[in-house]
Amino acid sequence: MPNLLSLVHIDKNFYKETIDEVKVFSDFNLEVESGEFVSIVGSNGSGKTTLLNIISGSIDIDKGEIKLFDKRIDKEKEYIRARSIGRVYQDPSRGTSPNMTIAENLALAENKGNIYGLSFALNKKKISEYKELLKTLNLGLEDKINVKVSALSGGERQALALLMVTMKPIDLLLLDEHTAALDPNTSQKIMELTERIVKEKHITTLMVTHNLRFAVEYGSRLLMLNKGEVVIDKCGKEKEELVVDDILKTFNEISIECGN
Amino acid sequence: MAVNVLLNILQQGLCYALVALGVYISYKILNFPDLTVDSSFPLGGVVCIGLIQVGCPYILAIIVAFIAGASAGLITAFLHLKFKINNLLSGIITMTALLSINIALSKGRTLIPYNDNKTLFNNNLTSHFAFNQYSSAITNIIILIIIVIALKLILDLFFKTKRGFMLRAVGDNEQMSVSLGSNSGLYKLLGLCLANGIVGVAGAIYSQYMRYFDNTSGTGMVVIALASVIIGTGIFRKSLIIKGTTSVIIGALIYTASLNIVIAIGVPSTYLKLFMALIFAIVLIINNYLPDKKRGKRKMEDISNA
Repeated sequence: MPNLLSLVHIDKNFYKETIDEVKVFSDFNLEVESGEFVSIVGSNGSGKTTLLNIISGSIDIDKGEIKLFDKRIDKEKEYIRARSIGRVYQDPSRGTSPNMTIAENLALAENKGNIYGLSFALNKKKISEYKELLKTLNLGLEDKINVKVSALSGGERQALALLMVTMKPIDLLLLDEHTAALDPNTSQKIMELTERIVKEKHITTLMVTHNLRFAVEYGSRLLMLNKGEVVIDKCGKEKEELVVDDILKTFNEISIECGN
Repeated sequence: MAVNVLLNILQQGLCYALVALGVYISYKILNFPDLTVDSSFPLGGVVCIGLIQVGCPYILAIIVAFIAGASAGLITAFLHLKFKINNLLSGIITMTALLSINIALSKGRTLIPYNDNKTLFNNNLTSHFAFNQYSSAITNIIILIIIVIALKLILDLFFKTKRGFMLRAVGDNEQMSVSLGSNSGLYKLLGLCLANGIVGVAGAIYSQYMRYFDNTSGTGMVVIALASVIIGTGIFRKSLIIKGTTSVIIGALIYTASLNIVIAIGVPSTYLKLFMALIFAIVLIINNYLPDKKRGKRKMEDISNA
């Protein structure tokens, strides 16, 4: 299997060369194969979100290389990388445009990667296509197609964000604690939806989560980060045999060490 | 008396509606409070009168006024995007710099009359409509209504295109527009150029309507335009039928009416700007206390109640 994503010798410091300098990564390496669903866990400050940020390009790395397939992307701007890397955020308001309707949001997402020109963005045919697409979510959103997204619940918005981000083919999906702001019931639903979409479309996925049960139940590989280093990396059969208690034990040991 | 006040309100209000349509793009769509307007308005006027006086057709002069205004917007956008200068400050820098440019272009004169030069409101066609003392005002109003509605319809169509959608998305949730692979900076630049271009056109048309160019005409234009936008979108905030563009036109008429009424009841025009600010403050205060204001971002507890 070829590597879809490679991070090679990554260094990342915040507040470099000041008294507040924080070393997040030094000589960090990670390879992700095509088709993998990687769950990433770790305590606060372990570098999980920074990892997603440097991959998506919302922050730059100090040293090292990030490759998608064999192409270096670490010098590309965030909006360029976004054309092949999708991301769903913890805050449901970040992935959708609140003052636009569901249909308008979907029309924007459908045109991703193309020029946003002067042709009309919506027509009747598209609206009925979008309704069919929304029906697959089983949330009744097809009846709210002309409702502003700000009127939707967090779960509905997160489902819409997932749909939008995977509407056009992408190489890599980054999920940044995307169920953390939802109640347990809704986050379970969103997690099931995530798995269904990822499986249907065969999208390589990195999912950061604080929910150890999700990390164990879903995905084909599990990483635990601590102070910018991978302390657990299980995939295949090893991953299947993992239970929450195993990683909770390591997690607690790390947390005590850190004084959390 | 009352008829004259009404005709004045309509003429002025429709001119201000043009400015408000421009500011609607920067303030409401892009969420960018752009102060360039105070100077891009007279810039459009001075460019227009300068060209007309050297024999340029008035339509062409208005088009050049658009380009002049758009260039002012370009500078503000450039300062903000390239050098990360705060949006208000970028506007203030351009606005201040343009004050000198406007004085230079008007060769130091505060007032320049159009005299007998042909304009939108004074040409071979309009000269046929002279029946009584009101006909010139009514002709002006008809011409202004046509321009305002045409601009409104063009903007409405634009906001239905893919590019228009993306412009709205950039103002609404910039992060999402980046996630969709768009260079949000380019859209802000486009929006600011468009907004100030329209303001330049408004300045050109306003000077033609007044029949003279006034270098101080831009002072307070930001307040007039913002008040119009906030009044209009505030009144129709719940309406699903009235479009944003329509509501700011109505907002401009309401604001102009309230200013004219203040003058009509005998307040000396010295205090016009004071009342301009006062009414704007009242509008903002009312707007902040409006019930169930739709907010883009909701509180975290709402989000988790999925």
